[in-house]
Amino acid sequence: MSDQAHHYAIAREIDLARVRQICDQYRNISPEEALMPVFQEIQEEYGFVNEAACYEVAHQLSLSPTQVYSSLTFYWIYKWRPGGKHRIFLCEGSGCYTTGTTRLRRVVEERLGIGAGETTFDGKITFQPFSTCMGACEWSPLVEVDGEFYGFVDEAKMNQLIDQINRQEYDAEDQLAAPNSDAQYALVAPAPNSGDASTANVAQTSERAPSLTEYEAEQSAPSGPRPNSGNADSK
Amino acid sequence: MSMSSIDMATGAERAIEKMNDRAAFEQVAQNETARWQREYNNVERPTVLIGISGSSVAHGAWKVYFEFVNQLKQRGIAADVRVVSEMGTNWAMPVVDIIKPGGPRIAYQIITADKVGALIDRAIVGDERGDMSGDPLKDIVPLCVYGHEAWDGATARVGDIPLAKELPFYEVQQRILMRDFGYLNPRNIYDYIGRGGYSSLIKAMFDMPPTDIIDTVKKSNLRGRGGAGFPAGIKWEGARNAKGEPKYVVCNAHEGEPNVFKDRRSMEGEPHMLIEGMIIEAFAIGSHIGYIYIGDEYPLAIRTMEHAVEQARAAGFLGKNILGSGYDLDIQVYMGGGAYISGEASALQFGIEGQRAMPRTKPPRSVEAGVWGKPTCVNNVETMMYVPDIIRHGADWFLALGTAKSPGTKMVTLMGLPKYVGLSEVPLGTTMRDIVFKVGGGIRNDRPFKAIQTGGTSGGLMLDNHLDLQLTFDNGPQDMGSVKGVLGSGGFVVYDDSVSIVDMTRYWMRFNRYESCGKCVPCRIGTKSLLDILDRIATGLGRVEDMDALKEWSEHVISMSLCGLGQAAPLPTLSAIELFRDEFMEAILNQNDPTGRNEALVAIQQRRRLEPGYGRLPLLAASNGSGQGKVITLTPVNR
Repeated sequence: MSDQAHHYAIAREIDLARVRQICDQYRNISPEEALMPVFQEIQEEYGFVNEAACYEVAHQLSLSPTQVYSSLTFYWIYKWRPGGKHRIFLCEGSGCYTTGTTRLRRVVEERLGIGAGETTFDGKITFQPFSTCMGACEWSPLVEVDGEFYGFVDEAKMNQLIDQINRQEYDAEDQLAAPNSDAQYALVAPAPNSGDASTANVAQTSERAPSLTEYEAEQSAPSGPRPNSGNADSK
Repeated sequence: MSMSSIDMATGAERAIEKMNDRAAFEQVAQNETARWQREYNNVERPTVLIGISGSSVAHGAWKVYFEFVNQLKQRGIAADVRVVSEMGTNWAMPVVDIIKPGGPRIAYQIITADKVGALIDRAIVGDERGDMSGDPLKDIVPLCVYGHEAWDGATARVGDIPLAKELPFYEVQQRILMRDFGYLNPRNIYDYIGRGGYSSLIKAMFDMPPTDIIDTVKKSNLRGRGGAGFPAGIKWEGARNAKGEPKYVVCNAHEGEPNVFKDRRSMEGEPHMLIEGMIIEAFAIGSHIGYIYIGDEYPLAIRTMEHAVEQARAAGFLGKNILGSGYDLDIQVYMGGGAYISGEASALQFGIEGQRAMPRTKPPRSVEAGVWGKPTCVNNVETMMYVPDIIRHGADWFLALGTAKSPGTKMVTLMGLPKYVGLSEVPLGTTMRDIVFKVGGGIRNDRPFKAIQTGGTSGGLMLDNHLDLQLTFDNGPQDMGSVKGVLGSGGFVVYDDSVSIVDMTRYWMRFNRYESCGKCVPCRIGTKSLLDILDRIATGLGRVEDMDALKEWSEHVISMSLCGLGQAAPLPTLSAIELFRDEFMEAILNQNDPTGRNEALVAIQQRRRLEPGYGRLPLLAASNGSGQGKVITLTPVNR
């Protein structure tokens, strides 16, 4: 979750030709064993799975659709509807819970009107609390928004984070729509005490963690940074 | 140096030569040890080491890495930047270590990307050491001095900077599995070979018959580190003697508890140690197929593990005819779907088979009928990581560690509200007081200690007067098991007096109720009913009989559930109602929460200030709360 590539583009349909392609990659192992990897790829690529994909995979792997469906519904990583463009992950591991995630959850629920695992009606924000420890408990409570981590989050900061998403979306809509577009198009209600200064503060402390693939790509690029190319004589 | 340090940072660009026999391996091992000496122990240029793990990445460790690389290049400073695994000092992240030629290895804490320039100025270009605080934004505070070979190898302080061994966090630690954390690059197999890795595999494969390997592990009394503490050697023997082909070896890397990250960190930090242990185990029981079953929540661990398996395959440690011994083994990294119950051994096998990961009745145990109905040996990551060292040093070496019944060391994650949140490795037999007040450094903000939650989601609480008990798997009078403390997978949560136990008990039950697979009735309905009661108490609707009901129903769930999840799910509740009875009674009788953290009760109290008498007190029932009487019907209180 933490450094996995997210798929923010909202796909509404799963391309069944692509599903067949994915199934073909797993012909060398038994169909039962291939089931999970196939759906993990679909989930990774589209952000959700659906019944059409279930039937197609069942057909391709010669399994019964019921078995496919029963397996998929057991694991929580498979989502049955497309996720939002922005994701708010709230760590509810015991370390974070001890330092007060209940309040953060309430902030999200009250401002966005969505509960755990739900997406706002316009498909912009998904809220996902989860209880598997992310291993960064010294920062608890920990919130991940679109791949960026924020530690020691309190209610004010949670509000700022939501404002930040709001602003991104709002600005984008501004550019698309007329210049006189009004605040009524804002995604969510603005927080009572959130100004630009506080948001800038959040942006400053944000740390974008490059994913491993990004990192590797940078390494393999010929123009990539080479610390050794520095001249040994110059200080 | 022939290789650029970036190549070594990723370990990806160096071509891996396949080793076809023992002699080839020994040649490589010799070269790599020499390389290690040359490039790590006696550095020729200033070297920056950055620890990468799931959580340091969250703190922006990659950003720090790129900042170092770019700034050093721009300023034309000759220095190396290396990626290493991470020490486990979470509270000080991101940690940056600097070695100058002929100098010690000094770790600096909380080096965010904006401090990189200042650190280069003062510690690499300049020769400042010690506390460099002053400018409030660019405070650079050293953490400690590490040795070049091992974390406790440093002998002399540098100015005021303490040795690693002198930090309270490290004081009681003994790092066996974690000895290379912070030293080798997890993405470079040659680093591991240079540190003596894979030599146990050679010893096991060429010098020991499989039965000897099993005897050694049996004699060492290596107990399963996943939670149950079942002796690994006995399991191996069962798997070896079981009838059926093929046999499978499965590494249970599906951790999933909300307060444990030791397996995750192990796989991110030292994947080859796990692979080596797994090959030895597979060789000993005569298996040719291995799975590493990792939960989906651990992306970095999955990638590191997959990369490590590919490297091991390219180097000839996996595949056909390993090192010319005639033995074949292939290991596959298998990603689970993120259900906590998948970590149960029999559930895990169904997970690999693409079914719902639900446990089944035992016997037959998984060593007789596991994956695809064939004999399967399932071991935890930490258990497997111990195997190379036991083979290398012998069973007696291992028995000398820890206590008589629970030998060895244990990786422990400490979280909640201690000063030092992190991953540590302590010998078994360490007292809980040392764990809380030395490894954990006491409570944050110097608040009073309230309790420590043991054993992941499924252990009891321990109070201050229990802290002199020892960390073991056993139930003796000196062991933590005597007061419902469970070592389990080694996850501990420390609470200060601001934490509401009623709320936390509800949290644990909510987790177990959510993760219950629903196969057996006692667990499916029992956890739900217990959660209902706890919800009721936590929202001010509790009744005195609830205390009896909690106790009795908990016992039912424990005695009748099918698998470990149900059998352990009510343990925190049982322990909490025993140790914190007053807090529960306060919540039931006065709808009050002394800690002020239980929000529903706080709301009731606030309203009562405006409307005296708001919220009727529940009627006292005939029970005296001892748990002896029969439970009276539990009709919801109409409010």
